Amino acid sequence: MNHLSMKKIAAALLLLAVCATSGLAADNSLKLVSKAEKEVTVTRDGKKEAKLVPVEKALPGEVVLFTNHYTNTGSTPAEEAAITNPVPQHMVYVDGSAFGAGTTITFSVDKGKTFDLPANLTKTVKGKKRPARADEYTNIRWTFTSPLPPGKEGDVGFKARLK
Amino acid sequence: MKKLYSLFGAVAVVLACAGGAHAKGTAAGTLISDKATANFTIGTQAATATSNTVTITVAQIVNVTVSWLDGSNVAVASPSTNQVLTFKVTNTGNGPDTFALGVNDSVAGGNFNPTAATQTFWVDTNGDGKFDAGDTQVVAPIPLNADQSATVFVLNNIPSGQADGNTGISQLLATSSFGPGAVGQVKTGAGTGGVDVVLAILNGQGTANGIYQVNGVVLTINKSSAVKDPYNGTEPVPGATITYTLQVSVSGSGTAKGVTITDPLPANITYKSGTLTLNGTTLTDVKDADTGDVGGTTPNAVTVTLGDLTSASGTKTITFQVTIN
Repeated sequence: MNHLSMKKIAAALLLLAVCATSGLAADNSLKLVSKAEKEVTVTRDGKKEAKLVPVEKALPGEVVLFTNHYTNTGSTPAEEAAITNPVPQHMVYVDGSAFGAGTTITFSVDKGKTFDLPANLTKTVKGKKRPARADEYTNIRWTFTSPLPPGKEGDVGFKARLK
Repeated sequence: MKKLYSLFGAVAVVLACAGGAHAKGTAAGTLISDKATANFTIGTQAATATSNTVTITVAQIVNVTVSWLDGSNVAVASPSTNQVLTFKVTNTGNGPDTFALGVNDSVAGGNFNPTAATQTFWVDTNGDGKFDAGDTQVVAPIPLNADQSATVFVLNNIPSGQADGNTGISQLLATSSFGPGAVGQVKTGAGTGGVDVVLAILNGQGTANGIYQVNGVVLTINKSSAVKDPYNGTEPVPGATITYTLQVSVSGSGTAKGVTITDPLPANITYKSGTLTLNGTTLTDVKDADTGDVGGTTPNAVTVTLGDLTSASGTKTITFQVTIN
């Protein structure tokens, strides 16, 4: 293969990539719906039970449950899927609260530049490296361990406390 | 599009306010938003999907702390007027509020009840922590932003006939504009910018007690003299030496602060150099590091600084000698 043909192939690949992006913008097959809820205690038939209610207002110190509901609305499997969610401003992640079936959950302490398992995360303060605390997590990522077939839906989520 | 711009404007304003209210929680009215992103591939094509944005508005917590700053009982005479107690009122909520001041002078636990002075409440306008000419009388509820505090002076009169050591308690009450109500009571839309308000303290009210103590201090000085003439007698003739002795003591429960004894030398005598003593220890005649001098602090006078004295200090004895001209 000579030098010229290499260039041609590269150009062709680039074109393909552009087409792929523009083509998909209209055809997103993974749908993501977020909601925020908090736990309240209600009395029903004389029994106290915890219930989740939508939250629009919160007080400092309150814990909010954020849930992202995903659905593959397309006709092909979504592969190498991952959902990321920044910990909202003015809030701190509640340790151990992230959940998501069929996912590996990793966290970032550098605003989403890098992600890792909690045990591997470190924070450098005044030149000293130490394990990162949960309240220092800035972003959460759920990486699906297998492709999501058409019609597949589920929830991933976490809790955060308002500062 | 216009709507979008105004929304961004609101967010910017709220964030600016939030900066001032770090310690006690996110500022009331702050908008919290959450949005998730999914990355995946369909076949070989990379794709991205984003969720809706969830927005939560931070509601307003009403809380107030009142503390008494004097540190120890405030010494007063019986009777006396306009005696000052110093308090600090802090808005420990997360939004702006105003606090009405009140006083309760019938608190159990003291020996007497003070009575509120005619102009009871003052705020430390000049910020020096002391009640003085630069301060302002409080006539309306005081406005405080989240985490902001004000130094408040409460003036009371002390009744007559109170024995030394008797105490009287005065309670300052600071009540939020969002009171009264039970803890946890929600006042829908009542807060700044229409946010909900929740009381974190009963009736939105904070209190603290300040204590007065009748503090009698009696400073007693006994002065005596002994004459020794040149003929071994005790006649005050020219050339005779007079030894003066001053005995200083304090009685009562209080502290006599910054006591300085100044004794002017009479006419027609001459101070005998090097004879000034305090409790048997010689003090130099010049004004220097030791506590006494002759003519240095005040011309023609013996000056001895004794500092703070209480009944536990015992008797301080000052002696010096002069000769008759």
